[in-house]
Amino acid sequence: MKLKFYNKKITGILSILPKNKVYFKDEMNNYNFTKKQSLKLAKIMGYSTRRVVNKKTSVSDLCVFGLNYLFKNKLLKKDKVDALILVTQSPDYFLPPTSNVISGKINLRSDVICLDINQGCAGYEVGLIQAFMLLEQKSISKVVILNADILSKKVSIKDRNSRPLIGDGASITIVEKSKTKEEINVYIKMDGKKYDSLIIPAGAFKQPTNSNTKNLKKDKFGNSRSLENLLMKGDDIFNFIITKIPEMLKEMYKDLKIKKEYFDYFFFHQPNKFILEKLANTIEIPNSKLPSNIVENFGNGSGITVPLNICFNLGSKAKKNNYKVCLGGFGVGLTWSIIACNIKKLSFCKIIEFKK
Amino acid sequence: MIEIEKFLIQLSKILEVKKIKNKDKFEKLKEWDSLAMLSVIALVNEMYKITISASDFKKFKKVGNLVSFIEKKKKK
Repeated sequence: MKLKFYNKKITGILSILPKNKVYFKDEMNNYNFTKKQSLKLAKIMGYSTRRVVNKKTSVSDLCVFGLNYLFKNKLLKKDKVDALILVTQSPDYFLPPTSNVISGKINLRSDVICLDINQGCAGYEVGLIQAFMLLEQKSISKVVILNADILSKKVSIKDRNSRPLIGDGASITIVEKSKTKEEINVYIKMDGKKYDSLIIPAGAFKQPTNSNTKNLKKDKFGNSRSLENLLMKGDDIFNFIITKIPEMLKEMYKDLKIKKEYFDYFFFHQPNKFILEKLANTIEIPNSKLPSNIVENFGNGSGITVPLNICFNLGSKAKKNNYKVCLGGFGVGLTWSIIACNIKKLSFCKIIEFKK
Repeated sequence: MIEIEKFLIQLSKILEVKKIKNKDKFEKLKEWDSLAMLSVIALVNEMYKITISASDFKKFKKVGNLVSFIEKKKKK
């Protein structure tokens, strides 16, 4: 699907990270790998430090903390928010929507649309699409997108396939109508036949938890996980990314009559260093234009990786300059999307730590 | 032929052996594990634009099986 939007822009990005740091080296003894194998794994994949929440912290806690920071520092006015979109796979409750819970906690007026979206790796792009669509309405001028996930709670300690890469966190992106002429081009595709390439099989309504769903089972690679744990088929995901993203980029270059050099940055989702470097090679983009340093510093926080990538690698430079960027998300669903837009003189672009 | 030789050199680097032979069995190689397999899948993709899933890979017992799979795919 190709979508075009006009006269809309991102005006601020804030990332919220939990304070707790977990180090790969402290956890590698849990994996069914020798020390040498584990160290090699860490080097190739870029595993080092990840940020995880403590037991009591929920997605709404992270989002409320970030929103209050923006209100307190006069970066966002409460009565100007027309819609609140939360993209998460780890909601506080099955029902009600966590976006409603957040709206209540920060005391938003009732003349606001709250909306939860279940998306992950491409959750930033899906959230942006929803925000752009809402902004087509006369009565909506400002949309707040929240991306938040705490999936570290769902990865088995004996799963070297997923455990060492998953991080937690949240991000807040403000999207507004723009007076200057802006064109945003969106490409998005989905393949539901591969829904089980990235999945938490049990715990919802299809397969509720019972005494068996907690049992750890060893797979053919020696990783142990239960049906309540996150399962990622690494080879499927790798093959999917390395073929679908180059195809989609080619399509975009052709449609927009641009070359890859047009973009200053490719801010892509951060599954791990290995995949990103192979992807950068395939699409012939220098590593300096396609950052791959999020997993090693913070972990892969699903839908938060693109905004965190922008905050970490551009930071306050995004307040002064204009950048032509290609955003990209790919994973759970399966869903993949790229967005060609501008990051232009944001009013804020930074990372804060969640404190309770 | 030259390309396959290049591939075998890269393969031996991943598997940390001096020289890799067609009759070598993956499972018997000291450095063979899931990470090595993913690295080989990535190498095949990089050099030949051929994708191989982990379950397909399991069918290749020997290095020679992989090499003839690549050569067959290339002809298509």
